[in-house]
Amino acid sequence: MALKTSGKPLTDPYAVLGLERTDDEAEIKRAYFRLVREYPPEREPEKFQEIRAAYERIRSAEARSQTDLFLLQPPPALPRRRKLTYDLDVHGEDIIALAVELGVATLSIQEDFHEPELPKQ
Amino acid sequence: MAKKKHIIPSVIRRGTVVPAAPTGARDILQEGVRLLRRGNYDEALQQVARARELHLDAAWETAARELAAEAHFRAAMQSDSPSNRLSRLEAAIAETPDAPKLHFHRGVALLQMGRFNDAFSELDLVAQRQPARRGLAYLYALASIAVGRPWSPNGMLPAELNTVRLVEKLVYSNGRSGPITFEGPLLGKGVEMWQALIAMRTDAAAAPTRELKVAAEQNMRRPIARILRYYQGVAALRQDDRETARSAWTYVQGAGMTSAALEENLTALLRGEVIELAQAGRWQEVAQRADRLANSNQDRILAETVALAHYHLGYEAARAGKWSSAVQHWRKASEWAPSRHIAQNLALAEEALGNWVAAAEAWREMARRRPRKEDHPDYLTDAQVAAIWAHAADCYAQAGRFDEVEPCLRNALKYAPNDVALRLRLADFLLDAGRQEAAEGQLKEIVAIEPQNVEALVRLGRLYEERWDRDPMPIWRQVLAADPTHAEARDALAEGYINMTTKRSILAPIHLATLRPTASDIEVLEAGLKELPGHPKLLVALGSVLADVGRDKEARENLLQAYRAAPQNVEVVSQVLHDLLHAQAGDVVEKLIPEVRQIPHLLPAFWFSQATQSLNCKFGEEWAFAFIEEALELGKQPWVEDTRAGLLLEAYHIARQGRAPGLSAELERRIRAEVPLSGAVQYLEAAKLYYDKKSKREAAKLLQEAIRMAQKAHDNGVLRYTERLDMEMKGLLTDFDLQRALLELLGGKL
Repeated sequence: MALKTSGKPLTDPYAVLGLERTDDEAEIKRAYFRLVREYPPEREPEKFQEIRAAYERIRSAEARSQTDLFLLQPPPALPRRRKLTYDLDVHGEDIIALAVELGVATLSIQEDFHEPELPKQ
Repeated sequence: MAKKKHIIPSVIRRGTVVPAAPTGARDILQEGVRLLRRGNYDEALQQVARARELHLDAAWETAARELAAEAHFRAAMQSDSPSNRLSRLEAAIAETPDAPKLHFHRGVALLQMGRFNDAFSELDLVAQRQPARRGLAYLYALASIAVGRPWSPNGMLPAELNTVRLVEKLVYSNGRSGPITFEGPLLGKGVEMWQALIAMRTDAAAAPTRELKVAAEQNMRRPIARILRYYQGVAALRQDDRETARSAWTYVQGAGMTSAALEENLTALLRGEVIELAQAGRWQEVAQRADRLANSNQDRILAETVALAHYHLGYEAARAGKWSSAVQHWRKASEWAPSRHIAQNLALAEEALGNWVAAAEAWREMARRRPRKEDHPDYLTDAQVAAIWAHAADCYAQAGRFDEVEPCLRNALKYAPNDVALRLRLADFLLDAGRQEAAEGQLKEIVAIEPQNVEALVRLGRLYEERWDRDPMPIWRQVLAADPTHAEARDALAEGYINMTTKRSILAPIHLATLRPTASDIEVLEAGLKELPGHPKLLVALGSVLADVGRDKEARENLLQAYRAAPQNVEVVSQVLHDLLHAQAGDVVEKLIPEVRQIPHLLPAFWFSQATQSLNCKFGEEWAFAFIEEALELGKQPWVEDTRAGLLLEAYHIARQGRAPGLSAELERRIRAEVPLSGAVQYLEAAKLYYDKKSKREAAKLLQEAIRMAQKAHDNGVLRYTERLDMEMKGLLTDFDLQRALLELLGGKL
């Protein structure tokens, strides 16, 4: 698909050559020669120009890295992800915390409130 | 006079004591006590601070300390958060370090925070100072169990003792120690919670969800309920009931529970759900789930999966042309897990929206944040970084932000100093900005990198042409060394030679009429022709000079050579025809005219120019007439837009300005005969009245008639002339136009 911006068309050379982004150099070359046979310059000069221009933009690794920089990049495949395991144990610290809170609940905090006395002189 | 009112301190009013401390401090601390009573602890502390500013004596300082400690203590007891409580208690202990109750409650807070060793030390201290304190034996026993120390049953109530015994069994059970039993009574409402926890502790598959739910409902004190709800979630997940688990854990998280297991379980739950949705390609649901739990991006895999969801959603939006939506998704993707490709797509989407500055900044951001390690998957080579900076420059240029273009291009060049195309762009930018010196520097650098770079040399040559202090000819020679057929360089070099002749020297505009060619001019042009053999402009120039000095035969040969070298170049052909007449070669001109007629899309102006020049140089009316005939004949061609009447009027004006009365009369006759309804006749009359008889009113009348007729006849050629005369008569012409009109009135003579 050729994605266009309002500024300038971002012709996708991979789309012109009917390639996937992941295709290697050999596949790019094969696609180019197949299309050139299908659209020879003497019969289809404009189409040939388009094919040639697209090929030039991705034929070498260097050119390709520059071209890819200004093309929309499709999302990568979802990598294999490990699911996390759950901690379904009963923890001793939680038992103690529960017991502490049960004990705290029995305390009368008010008993510890003490109003300070000011000196008499 | 008003009587002064004495305020008597309350303590004196009660008649109990005489104040020993400063009166102000007493009042202040009394107010502090009042505030303490009302529960305004921080205000009470402010009163203490105010009193201390008065330099209290020992007794009052002690009182101030007690008040401050009590205020901190009560504030601590008011807080639900153990860490807040702890810091308040520590502030209180700083005031009264020996108060056992403060150490007891500090121990409790440390227990609640899971800092069992610290809690044990603190409660141990209290056990020495206040062994009979209510609740101490129970909590001290729990702290001892937590740190693996022996504990004593002394001082505990039966429920406390039973609970401690059960806790010890639960904490130290390892699944091989047999069934756990307990005796009542126990602390807490109902025994379901203990039964449920025992079951879960001893059997990894036990899932007493309902019992824990009931227990949590019975024990609603928040710190207790949240532990029970957490285990309700654990029990639910043991049965793979993720919905109940999520609900329970979300609740306890909201209730302030913080434990590694809770965090781990919530993350695992969310990650599992998100990965399942992502594997099914349900990206929208992944994004929605993430939006609800936005703070869970601590987990790298979770964050990357959510970022991937937004990446997909943005890409789908972009494919549908919904660039704003794409921008939003890719921004979110960047927040979750930034990557080079997301940043790149974001910048391209901003471009698509025409947000050029935002796009430029996105590209800059991408360059700035790129990973520097070569083995990183998002690593950018220097060439790529240069391309990004250059692209950012384009975006700024699109936005008209030219101030940012140069820095971007210079940044690009830092990464690709030998990229001559890039340097040429900077040079062009500097040339457009009129910064010739800076541009020259860049162009010279390009030539240093690539001595035969024609594009840079040509720009340098053009730049030098505009300057008095630079000689462009060596540059043009460099261009020709790289590309011997370079037309611009050949022409420019030829012009360089021509400019060295007397007529074209810098003094020529002033002394044009008096300067005569010299022998050295001929030498200069011959040298030029040696360097540029057969160059038509040099041949014409040499022919012209030779004709001027009377060497007509040689002039004729050179001019003919020039014609043969560029028979389609109207500039050369025009000069050749005219200079042939100077060289007394009218016969050759006559022979050439039929060939010249064949130049494609030649315009009448070419022949009118020949006519004007022939009249100026006094070659006789017959040559002017011949050229005018050619012009009129050319008027029949489809590419000529002017009308017949318009061409005749042009010819008539040339004849008048050239002081050619016979030709003028003939053309006037033709105008009257050939185009009587075009308005040209009326225009002629009006012009004569205005210019010759100075009768402006009569001229105006006739001019209006001419305009009317020309409009009726749709004769734009005539209308062009009427409009000009009309403007002139109304004084609407500029100074330049008036000077031209004056010049015309004078017959074109200075």
